This record gives sequence, C-alpha cells and structure tokens, in this order.
Amino acid sequence: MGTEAQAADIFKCPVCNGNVRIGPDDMVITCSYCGSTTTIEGKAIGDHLMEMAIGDRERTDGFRAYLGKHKGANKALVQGAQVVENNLIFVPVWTSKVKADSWYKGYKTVQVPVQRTRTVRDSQGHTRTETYTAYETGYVPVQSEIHSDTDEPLLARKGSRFYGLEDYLKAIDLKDTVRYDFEKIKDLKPTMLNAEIGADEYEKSASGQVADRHRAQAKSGLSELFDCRTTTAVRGTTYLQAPFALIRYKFGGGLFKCAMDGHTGRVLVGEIPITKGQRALWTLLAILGIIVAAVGGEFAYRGYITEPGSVMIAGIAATVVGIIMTVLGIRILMMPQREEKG
Amino acid sequence: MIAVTKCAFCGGDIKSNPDDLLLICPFCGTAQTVEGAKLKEHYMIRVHFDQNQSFTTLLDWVSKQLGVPGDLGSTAHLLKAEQIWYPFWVSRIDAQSSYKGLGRDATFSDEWPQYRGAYKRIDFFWKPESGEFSRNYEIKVPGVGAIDQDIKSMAIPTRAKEYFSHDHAEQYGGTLLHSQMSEDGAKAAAKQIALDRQTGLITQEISKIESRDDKVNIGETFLVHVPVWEIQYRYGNKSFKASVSASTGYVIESEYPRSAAFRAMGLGLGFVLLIIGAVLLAMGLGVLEIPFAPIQELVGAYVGGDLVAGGLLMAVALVFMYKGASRKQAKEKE
Repeated sequence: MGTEAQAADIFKCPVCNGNVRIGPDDMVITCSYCGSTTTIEGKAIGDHLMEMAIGDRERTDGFRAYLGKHKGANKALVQGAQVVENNLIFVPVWTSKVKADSWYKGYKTVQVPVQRTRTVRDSQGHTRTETYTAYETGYVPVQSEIHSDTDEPLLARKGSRFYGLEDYLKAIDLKDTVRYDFEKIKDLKPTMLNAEIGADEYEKSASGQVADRHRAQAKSGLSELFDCRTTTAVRGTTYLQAPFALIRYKFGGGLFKCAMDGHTGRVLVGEIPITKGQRALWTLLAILGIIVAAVGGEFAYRGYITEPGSVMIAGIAATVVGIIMTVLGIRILMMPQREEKG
Repeated sequence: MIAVTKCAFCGGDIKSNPDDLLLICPFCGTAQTVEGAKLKEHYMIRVHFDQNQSFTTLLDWVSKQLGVPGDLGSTAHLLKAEQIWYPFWVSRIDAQSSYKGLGRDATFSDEWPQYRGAYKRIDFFWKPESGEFSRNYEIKVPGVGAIDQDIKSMAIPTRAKEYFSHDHAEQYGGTLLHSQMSEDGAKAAAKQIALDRQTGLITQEISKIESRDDKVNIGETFLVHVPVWEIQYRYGNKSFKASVSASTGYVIESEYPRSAAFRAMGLGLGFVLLIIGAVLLAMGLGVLEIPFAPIQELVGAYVGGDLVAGGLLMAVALVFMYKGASRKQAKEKE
C-alpha cells in the first residue's frame, strides 16, 4: 500500500529530548518515545487519556459477532465474509463537559374545541338545532428553559471525517479511559494521529455546537421562536486518544465496510449484504403487502358505502399496513446492502 | 489558452490556464503564486492504494450494486487510470458577531375559556434586541471550480497529512491541478462563508439587522492536495468511468454496467405489472368491463380492492421500469 509515511517535520520532545516525527499541522504532539504530550510550543496540555485497544484477533471476533447478529436468513455470512482491511488507528479527540443554560420565548398554536350550534332541516321538512364541535386556532405563549450538562467529544483533525464518525464519538465514555501510556498499546502497531486542533478552538466549537442544539430543540415545538439566549460553560477539557478500526470485507464478490470501536470491538455501524434468497423473501413480503392492502381497501370501501364505522376503520388500517409492507419489501429489494447499527 | 510561466524555484516551465492563481510546478512541486511567491502551507494526503489496488477495490465494490453482471470482477479490464491531485483549501475561522436590530415578539389576548393558556388573538410587534454569537468554523473550499460535484464535496481522509512531496506525487505519474484560488482568495471565500453562517444565526434571532459588528479571525489556512484515481474500464463493448480515492480506496462515484437480463426483467416485469395495475384501476373506477364474464364477475365485484391493488401495482411497476431503464451510477457513503 504505497510507501510508508516519511518524516514531514521533526519536533524535539521537551521531556526526553527525542526527535518526534510530526505532521505539518499538528498542534498537540505525543512523544513516540516517552509518551509525554505537549502543545507544539512545548506547553503542557493537562489530562491526557487513552482508551485501551484490542488486538487483531479480538477485532475480527467482534466483527464476526456483528455479522452473526445481522445475518438474518443468510447463514453463510459469518463464515463466508473475508476480511480485507482491519487497521487500528488512534484518533485524537478533545472532550469536555459543557454546561449550557438556555432561556427562550415563542409561541405555538393549538386546536381549541368549540361547541357550536346550527339549524338543520330533516327529511320531513322539520327544522331543529343541533350542536357540533368545531376547531379554532389558539395561540399559546411559551416561555421556557433548557438545561443540559453533557460530554462533547469532537475529532481534533482539520477538515476531515471518516465512516461512522458520529456513532464513534457517541460511543466514547470517559469511564473507559486510562492515563495515556504508549507502552501498553505499541504492540498493536496502531497508527497514531496527533491533534490539529488546539484546546481553545475545540472549546469554542463545542460551545457553539451545544448552543445550536439548544436552539434547534427550542424551535422544534414552536410555531415561532422569538428569543433564545444560551450561556455555555466548558470545563474539564481532556485530550483523549481513542482507537478506531475500519474493517472492510468481501462477501459474494461484493465489498462492504464496518466502523468499529477499537476499545470494545463492537461494530458501531456497518454494511450487510443482501443475498438473492433474502431478496426473494422481501419480494414475497411486498406481494403479501399488496394482498393485505387490497383486502383492506375492499373492507374500507364496503364500510364506507354501507355505514362508516369500525369496519371501515379496520379496512383503512389494513390498507396502510399493506402499503407499508409493500414499500419496505420493494425498497430492500432495490438496495445494494443494508446498513445496520451494531 | 495555455500560458507558460517559469517556476521561480527550479526554472521549469509551468503550463497553466489564465484562471489558475496558485501554480504547482510539475518539476519540483513547489506551490507558488503567479508572481512566484512560495506557499509554505502546502500539504498532501499520501497515496495508499495504487492503480491495481484501486481497480480491484472498485470492481469489488461495484459488484454489489443492483443488476451488475456476475462476471464483472473477472472480465472487466482497466482501460485507463489517471491519478489526479485535487487541491482544497481548508481554513478555521473564529467569528464573533454582535448585532442590534428588531426582533419579533407578540402579545396575547382574549383567552379561550375551554383551553387555559391559549389565546384567540395574537398581535405581533417589533422590539429592539441585541446580542452576540461566537462560533468557530472549519471551512473547506475546493481550489478548482469546474470539477465533479462529488469530488468537490468529498471528505478529506482522516489520515496523516504531510508537507507536499513532489517525489511522492510523481511516483504514480500523477497530474497536479493548479488552484484557481489564491491563498487570499481562499481566505476571503472562507470568511464570506463564515459571515453568511453568522448572518444565518442572527436572522434567526432578529428579523431586521440595524447594525452589526463582526470580528472575524481567519486562522491558519492551508492547501492540501488529495489524490484521486480517475479510472476508465471496459466491460463487454462499453466503457465506464469511476473516481476512487487513492488514499482510502473509497469509491467517490462510479458508473457500472447492468446485465441485459436485469434490464429485461425490470422493464418486462414492470410493463406487465403496469398493465395489470391499470386494468384493475379502470375496473375499480367502473370505466372498463372485461367481456369475459367469469373475470368481470370475480374482479368487478371488489371495487375497493381493485382500486388499492391497482394503484399499488402501478407504483411498483414504475419503480421496476425506472430501475430497468435508469442511468447506473453509484456513490459510496462516507
């Protein structure tokens, strides 16, 4: 796979004086000899943690377990999958607790039931009054608050992303971390990436992200959001090197991939092939769906022309279920693969 | 129109278009402005998949697409693989905007007696508001305009970046694209994108901006060249194009063949289903009577069922026919 990475630049470790190879944009450097971690200016960065990683073999086991869970009717999947790529990479992550408090104001609309009366003329020509329920719009002022205190891990690399990144960041738990110690992981021959984003920049990104999330949450239940004020406080910013593995495998001539948490060996999200047999089953479901929908439609129609009531409602329900079955069956029939969370 | 500029560092001839503002010397690889000033922040992502590995990966990946002939992997052959290095500018921007203006608010009156807290009347009014937004953005701007949308929006791989090495780019005979954007141009574009996003935030809070003050700090901006294999391959007597990331082996996009059997089945089955669906629908609506009594009695009796089944069958038929006839192109989700 090409040639090995050459030294882009050399950084002198302020602790052991070793020459560390670094990337051009690296902001936080971990010494490859002594493991001490400093900023590019040689300043301390505070807590530096890592998640332990598991070996090749255990990762493959975790991957097979994932396939086993999602194989469905495809019994050959676990044995037949051939792993073609399984590289461990330690990605740099900044994480901290972000406490955010928002106050917001807006309004929403509701339907207010109003009893009305009207005059009706029956078939004999007599008039009588009857009451009925109408719905009118009501405006409800809303003034509320949102408080949250959450871990906000972010990838400390500039301009880049990888398959399964969001799921991977969500799976990070500081409880699983240990103090960084390169000795403990070096036998796994991981690729180590340094951070390209410093702590200050990270903290701004994290607070902005939380504030935007609060605003979206406030807005979601309202017709209009008038004001939303958020204050954020970031604390306990920690630098974390976390193991990730991208596994690519071949099955039945096709190539598929999975994103794995290199700490637990759990697949976070991945692609699962769909075999011909499975496609046939989904087609069957679609056909069954058409039949269910047709029967439902018939009942709904008969219910409607005789007397609207429970028969009609049951018919409509069956029609909807049938349509959903058909859409699902045809959709999966047409997909090259399924995507499944671990 | 191709102009020739002398490289300010090795004296070699650099061919460029008038649009190109940041040139990469094809002999020594130095990134320089048209005037010959060197760009120091010039990085690259290394090639990890050579031509053959990329082609194998591509065929394996394409093989799982719908209706691809089973022998694609063994019979397709590579016509051409060209390595193109696409330039991207990446900036991080720190923006702090304070604003003043008018925001909407409302008073509520005439409460509904049967729904406490809900009012019959809402009267909007404008009120002066001010505030501040502080955000940090990461902005990627492609250095060339007239390229494929999927390449423009591809993610920069999370692999170690390094200083641009001309030897490495030359190893596979890669073509380096000049950037049509200068460093200043890239910074200005990134700044504008950041300001637009800030404006987006402000207009969520107030409707009329009366004054604003933006402090935009453009952090380090770098140019990164990302290698992509532009592949052309032949299957049967047609050729197909694909773009594969040379550093990750991801299929950015690919055309692929569909087997004749698949097309015939899609179109044929679709057509049959369409006819059946249309007949059912017409009978359900009462506009069609089949002159063959047993069928007319059997099917004509179920108006509701006919309508639903006919509609669904026609929808399914259209999907089948579309799949049978459609252009075949796929992208790998990142």
